[in-house]
Amino acid sequence: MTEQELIAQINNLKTIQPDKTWKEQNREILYTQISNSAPQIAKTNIFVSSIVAVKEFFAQPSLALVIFLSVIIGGSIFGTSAFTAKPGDSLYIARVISEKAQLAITFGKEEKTKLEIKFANDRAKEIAQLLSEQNQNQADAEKLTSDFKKEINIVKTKIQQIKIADKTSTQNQEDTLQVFGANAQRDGQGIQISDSNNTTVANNTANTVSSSAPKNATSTPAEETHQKILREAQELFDQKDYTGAGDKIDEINSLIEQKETSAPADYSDTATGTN
Amino acid sequence: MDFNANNQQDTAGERDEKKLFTKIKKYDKDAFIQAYDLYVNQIYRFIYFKVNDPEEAQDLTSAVFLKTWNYILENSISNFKTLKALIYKIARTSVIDHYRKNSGISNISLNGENEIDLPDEKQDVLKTTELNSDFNNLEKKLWELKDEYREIIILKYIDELSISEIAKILEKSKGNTRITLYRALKALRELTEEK
Repeated sequence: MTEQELIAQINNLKTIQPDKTWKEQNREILYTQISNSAPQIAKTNIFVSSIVAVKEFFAQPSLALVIFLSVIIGGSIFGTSAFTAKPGDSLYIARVISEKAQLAITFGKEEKTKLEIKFANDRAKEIAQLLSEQNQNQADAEKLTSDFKKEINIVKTKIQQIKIADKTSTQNQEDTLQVFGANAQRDGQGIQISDSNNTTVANNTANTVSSSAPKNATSTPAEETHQKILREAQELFDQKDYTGAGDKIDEINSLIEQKETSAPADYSDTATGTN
Repeated sequence: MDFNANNQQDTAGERDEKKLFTKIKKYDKDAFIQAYDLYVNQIYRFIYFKVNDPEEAQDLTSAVFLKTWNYILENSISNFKTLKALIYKIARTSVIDHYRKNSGISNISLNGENEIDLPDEKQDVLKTTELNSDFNNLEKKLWELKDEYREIIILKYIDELSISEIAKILEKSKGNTRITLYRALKALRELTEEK
């Protein structure tokens, strides 16, 4: 007898089965027995059983892997989308929050200030880029134009304030201007989502300070340069040369970076004073 | 010899069993009755080949299902991957308890360890009966095997459990289970070739 024949014969022993009547009767008895024991215990354990069920569901290796990958991929997609979002995009606010978070976790005043300058520079560029796009919504364009003008005026105001402050402390004057300039542009992140009425008031205020500024302080060559560049940026903007205006903003940032590399210690000290 | 021949067939059945097991874990009485209908024949056969008495096998089978239900209610059953493994484990323990209570009536091995390869005394009863057909002859030969070998042959080739399920029930490694199964089949073949 071969092994297969032997196994086939063993399989035939499946015909040994319990009596059908006994099976039926025993089923009924069993159902009665478990019905008597189940309800009380089931009620007391319903909360525990629910927790166990949830735990078992999430303990499945395949599900855990899917959740893990979803978090990683989803986070990356969201992060990338937010990072490239422009004003008007739904994720733009996420980008602003992300920038604030970056600032919060950056240690060292010098590093923080560099980051602020970078954000301000990015902001100026994206405004110019967005305004130059053909498909830009008219309302958005008007709002951004208003915001841009307001940012320019705030920078002017900050420069003027620095001049007044520097009457008591003349050292590192240029660096101080740069930091205020950077902060003013960073403030613009919030300004971009303000309404047009507020923007108008802010513009008026800024213009007032700007126009009265020369009477209160003397200007250094660096300040004059900044003011001149800002005026040129505003003029270019009024002429709808958005790229040119953006370049001017870049120019200011380049000057800031040059100053930063030439006198990093002073720059850091000034940043402390302005905060 | 391919000991995993039935593994693919087991997969679909295991999926259904898993669903049933999940319901029973939530104390679903109807699901448990479904499990009774599904496994009663196998459990009865498993017990029958241990006690060699149909009425005793029926009584023990009834007790096994009730014990299983109570076990599910009172214990964490996360150690058991399948319901089938749990029921067989309880069946095996119940038979052991049964023989402990009735010690002296039978000398059937409880754990198969340190056992001398001698025929069970039950075969004396069988010897008194005329068994002419192949079916009865094979059954008789099965009784001549030691309990450990008979048990593993029933689990694998009659009740069609997987190697991992058998290993879990017998508390052995898969490798050890395969070796035992190989030896059991070899011993049975030698017996059937004897005159």
